[in-house]
Amino acid sequence: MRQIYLGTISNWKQIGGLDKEIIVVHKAEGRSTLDVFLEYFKLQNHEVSADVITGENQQGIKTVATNVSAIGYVSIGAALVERDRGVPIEPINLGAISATVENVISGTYPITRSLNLVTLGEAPKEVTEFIKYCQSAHIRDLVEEANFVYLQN
Amino acid sequence: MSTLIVWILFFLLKESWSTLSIVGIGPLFSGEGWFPTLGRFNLLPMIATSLVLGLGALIVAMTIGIFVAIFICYYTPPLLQKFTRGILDLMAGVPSVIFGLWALVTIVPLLAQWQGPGTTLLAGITVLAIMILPTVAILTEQALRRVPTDYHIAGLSLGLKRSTIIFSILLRIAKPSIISAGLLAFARAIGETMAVLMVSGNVVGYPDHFLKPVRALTANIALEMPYATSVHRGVLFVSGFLLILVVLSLVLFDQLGSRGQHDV
Repeated sequence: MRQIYLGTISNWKQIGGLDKEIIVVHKAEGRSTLDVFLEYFKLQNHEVSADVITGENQQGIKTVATNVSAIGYVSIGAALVERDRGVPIEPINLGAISATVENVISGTYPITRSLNLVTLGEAPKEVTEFIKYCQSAHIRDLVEEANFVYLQN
Repeated sequence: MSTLIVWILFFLLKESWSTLSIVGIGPLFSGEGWFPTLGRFNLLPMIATSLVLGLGALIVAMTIGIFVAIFICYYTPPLLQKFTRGILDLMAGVPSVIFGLWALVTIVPLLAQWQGPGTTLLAGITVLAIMILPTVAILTEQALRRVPTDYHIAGLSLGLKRSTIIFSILLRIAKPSIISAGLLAFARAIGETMAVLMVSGNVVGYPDHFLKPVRALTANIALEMPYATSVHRGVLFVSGFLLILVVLSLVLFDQLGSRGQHDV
């Protein structure tokens, strides 16, 4: 993955695949998916040799889905929802670890981050209660439906 | 209307001023690339990209659009004229994001089959040309219609062929209006955001190759504004201000240009 994103491997045939140029799909600066990705693969953003830079997860998914030699990274939740809907994308394993929600829950899958709810300064009572609600078991089904991980704490 | 424009301009100017006093103008037009989170703000590659996208689209759209207008105006029966005009009106009304989506799933894979990522300068120029073509064709046809029939009759009485009358006489008279249409179309092209964002690749760099992914100034704002903070956000406002200046000067240029002409 490092070499693909650095550009040192530029054709799939170099790693035993089809003779096609690898289309590297990357994310725009400022997004946390980008930061998490760069941190895990120990890359600096200016080292990455990208072919397409996308904004939202959906754009990344669409770009990979319409290009047989493209590779990109998006959130597991978004990818699995689309894959299950029939969109022609497939999550890749990290070595022996497959990209599943179970592996994220168990902590086996290493590239994860928690999602945050952010307020400007001290939040009023209603907002604090809403935040508590968003962390409660009430919304667990919604979280899991979107293939995200419900955090019990 | 003008209060609104002044308001927007004033807002952009205010935001830009505070950013420029921190960053200075120099870093916006020099330095190694666009890495805003590292303090590198060179806008030149993206400015160049927006201009090339606009010019490329304009050349294609004007060439095809003028011929379409001539065809509708002089070579088709009234019923077909109405039909073609209707199609053009329809095209002109399609939202840009629809064009972008369509191009992403048709033009981009087509280009990708030929070579490279598909999301390229060429894809951007193509989709922009398709988007501004109706404007050019409609305005040109209107301009041609406004040419007094006396000229056409005079040409006929000189025994000239129809094509000679059209290209040597009528087109020349309609030229100022056609140039106006071109300026308007160019302004629309460099201001286009969604379609360009979806098909051009968004990799910052100079537009020196047709099959290279590029990032337009507009796409940059749309891509990064939701996640930009402080200085980064400020620089995006400056780039927005630059865009408005370009469009305003185009409109001004158009107004000044048509001042000395007898209006057709």
